[in-house]
Amino acid sequence: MPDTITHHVLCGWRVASELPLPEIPAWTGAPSHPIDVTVTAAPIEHVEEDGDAYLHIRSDGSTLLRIPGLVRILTRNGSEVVVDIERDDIVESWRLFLLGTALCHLCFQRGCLPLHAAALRIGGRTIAIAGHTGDGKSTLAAVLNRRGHPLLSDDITVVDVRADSNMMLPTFPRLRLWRDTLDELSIERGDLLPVREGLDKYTLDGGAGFDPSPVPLDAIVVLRNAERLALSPVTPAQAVVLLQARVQRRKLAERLGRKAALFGQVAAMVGMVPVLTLDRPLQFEALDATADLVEEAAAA
Amino acid sequence: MTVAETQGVVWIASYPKSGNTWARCLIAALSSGGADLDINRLHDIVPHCSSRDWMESLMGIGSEDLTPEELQKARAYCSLRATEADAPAVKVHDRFDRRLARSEITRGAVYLVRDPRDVAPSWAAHMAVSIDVAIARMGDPTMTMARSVRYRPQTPQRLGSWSEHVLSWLDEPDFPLLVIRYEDMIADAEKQTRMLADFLRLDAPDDLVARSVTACRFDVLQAAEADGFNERPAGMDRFFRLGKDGGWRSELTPAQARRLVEDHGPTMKRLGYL
Repeated sequence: MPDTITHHVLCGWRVASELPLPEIPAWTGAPSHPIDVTVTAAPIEHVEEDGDAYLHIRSDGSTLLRIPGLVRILTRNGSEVVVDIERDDIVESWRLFLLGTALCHLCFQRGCLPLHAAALRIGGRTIAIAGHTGDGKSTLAAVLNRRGHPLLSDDITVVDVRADSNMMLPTFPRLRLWRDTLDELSIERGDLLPVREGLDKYTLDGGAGFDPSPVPLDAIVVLRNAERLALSPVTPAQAVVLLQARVQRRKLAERLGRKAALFGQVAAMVGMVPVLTLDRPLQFEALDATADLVEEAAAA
Repeated sequence: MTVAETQGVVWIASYPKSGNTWARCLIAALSSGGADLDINRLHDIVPHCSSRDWMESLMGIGSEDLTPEELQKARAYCSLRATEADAPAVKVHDRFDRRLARSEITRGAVYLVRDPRDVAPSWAAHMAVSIDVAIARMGDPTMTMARSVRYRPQTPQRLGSWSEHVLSWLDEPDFPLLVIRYEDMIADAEKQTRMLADFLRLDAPDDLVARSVTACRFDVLQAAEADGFNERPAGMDRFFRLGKDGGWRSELTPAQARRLVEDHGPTMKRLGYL
């Protein structure tokens, strides 16, 4: 690797990158700690078998993600990421795919569980807020972050499920919010960068108090749309069903042959971590009361 | 013959509330030998190319970070993949867009059109707005469904005004086009269904066409909807509302009907509505 490599901490892993990763905090651990993941910039050859336009799984389990005209990202062995940028733009939007879909691929290859969830530290406890796209995870996380609770991840919450503990592996403290959410929260768009040119979605720094160290996960709150607000504990059997459906890129994990492993991880996790459903109307007026209930779940 | 001519996508295109779902029901019935129709499985047979869930399952990645330009390309890609996997046609509500209905991947399009005076009350009920608001939207050249100021389960779909929508599909494509008027479907469903089957190159003897028309009669679809319909918008009582033409005479005020004629007169004339 050339001299320009920078060292970062992502999910507790030491990441050495040839490419700039401004979202990811610098590595502050021991200089002797081995490198867990390398990110290199290199052309990715198109081979005949890579027929699928957006995602191809090679026979060795490596994944090739392609956003036509923007970037190709090859993820291998859970430790090597090769990035081939086809077109760069001011906001370097290729990184969205590296820190989104490709990060999920890395998780599956490393045996970690990427939940479709945001995570925060609330009163000394670590809470994941799980939900489908459009369920309002980031919006609720923004409200809680503004109340002073440090953000640990948005959209992908990585869990390292072990025999006796669930370690939540913090990613980076950035929220991505649609324009109408910013307007509803009265956040000025002035200095915020769009996540991509042409998308009405913006990056908000939620960095205050971010700690990149892995930490036990204390509770998972599953967001559901409903007419009335309600916070309810669920049984482990119900929790397995709810969380299986909220694993990021679950179908890819199945294509990688990890279906049974995934089920085992989710089942083990809910045996150790309380899971609650948070039913609420998907309305701006209900946000504060919803945030109160997340704080209540954290205090329980 | 090119690949597009033999294996390309057939689009079922229309402005909303112009018979698209009815046509999809007929195609579903024709493709299943006229067997009992499951209206909750329509999307499996004739998918809607703006469904993000559907796209994401075909792409293997999420769609929320794609730009509008990339989304159009991705929708075209997914529509072709679905066609290769035997979907007889793909539903689209966008005005004609070369990035989506690309000539290289398209075998043809069926364009369904309905008197805008009958579209207006039905569209108002669908959007849960007043008829006046629906009429204003039908005249708005910037009209886009599921506009992306926030995430929605459907991709944004640019409609343009009703006239723009109709003219874009009638005049811009350079692939075969079958235009079906909703009113002709009501007047002679068997004849129009025969044309539809032939255009889609479905093997459809006359008795199958007849059975399919019966399976898709409005009273049958309404009865099926009573047991639930997964494409009905939240808060809407009935998706299959009246299924008739000329209802506008009692549903619109004279001023509302006049406004539609003022906005869309030349296009209405071209379709024989004036």
